[in-house]
Amino acid sequence: MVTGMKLSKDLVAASAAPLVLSILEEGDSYGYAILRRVRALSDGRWTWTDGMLYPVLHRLEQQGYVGACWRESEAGRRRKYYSLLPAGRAALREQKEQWSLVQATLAKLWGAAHGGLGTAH
Amino acid sequence: MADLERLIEAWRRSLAAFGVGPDELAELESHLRDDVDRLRREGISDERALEQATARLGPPQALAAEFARTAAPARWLPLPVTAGALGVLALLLAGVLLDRLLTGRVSVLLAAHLLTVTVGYSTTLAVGVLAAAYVLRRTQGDLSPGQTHGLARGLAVLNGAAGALTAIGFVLGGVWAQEHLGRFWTWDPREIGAVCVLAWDVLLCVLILRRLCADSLAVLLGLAGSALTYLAWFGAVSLSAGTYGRGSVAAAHTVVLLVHVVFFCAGLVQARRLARGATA
Repeated sequence: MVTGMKLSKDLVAASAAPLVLSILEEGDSYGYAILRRVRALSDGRWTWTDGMLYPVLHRLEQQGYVGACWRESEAGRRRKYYSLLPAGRAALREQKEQWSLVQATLAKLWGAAHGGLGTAH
Repeated sequence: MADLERLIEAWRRSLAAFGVGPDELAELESHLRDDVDRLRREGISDERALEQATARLGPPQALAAEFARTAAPARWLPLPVTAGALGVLALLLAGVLLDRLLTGRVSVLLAAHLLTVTVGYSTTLAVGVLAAAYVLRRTQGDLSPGQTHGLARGLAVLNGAAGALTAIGFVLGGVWAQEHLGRFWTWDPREIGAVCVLAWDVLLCVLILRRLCADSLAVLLGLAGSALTYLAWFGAVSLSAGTYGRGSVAAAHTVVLLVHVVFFCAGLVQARRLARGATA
């Protein structure tokens, strides 16, 4: 799914849902805009194989985490907009806690490693 | 421009050939056109822009395979079976009532009232049976999130249908009462029961469709509707007939309600255990 930055396939699979849900927490959006947002947030370093976002969105829709409806853009183009549903908000809360724990644990380990190096010098 | 349209059409056909559905195709095409527009604004030629945009979307075969993996999971079988059984019940009852109607044993109003209320109540009871079956099924392992979501939505449809039938039956019953008893509403336990069932049907439908509670809890709540309908139907009939206080009748009602409570509590405990297992 990732072609720009070499994130492992497993990590991409695990982070896709919280990433999309977090973007939808900011407001309703559609696939192309979600991808643009991901690129902007990662300064263009995190790029997806664009089409693979849609199966992720459809899976979230099936799980009842996001709702979807077709709307017409100002340019008259039909776009499928996704919105975060209460179940998705609850799932995102849980995901945030889990990712925060992972991040805090790794930060402590890596922080300690840097500290250790500092002491050695 | 005409060339671009021709190329997009060819791209669509290549995806469709791999089995990508029309809804997915429309969404991917919308994405493709957004990307092509952006690239063209950057001064890239139509053909080159399309080439870059389609490459970024990914190879058709890989996309089709990924969409196939997210295809809706198989429905949990008891749901369509129950819906089919309710349809058969409705047809059988309609046949019996039609026979009585043709032989002058029942009026059109009463026949329609009996048909709608019986099928409506049976549907709400069936939702409870499905909830109990769901609890039993989960003892063998949880359904997939997609299956649970499909089940919850299915129950919302059944509850919606039950609510509509109960509402029609209630009004028809009221009109019949108006004609024969002189009043639309007589404070009969059966009337009060019908209003409670109707309110419950609408409430559960809203809870599920607006996603105000988790799918698994929504399914379990079907047991509450079933218990309420049992009371509104058989309990109210016993009350109206003055048999509610009789030992055997009271015992039967208590047993049925207890079974509901046991399944509901077991379902809640089971949900906590499964949730702990999932996060362990």
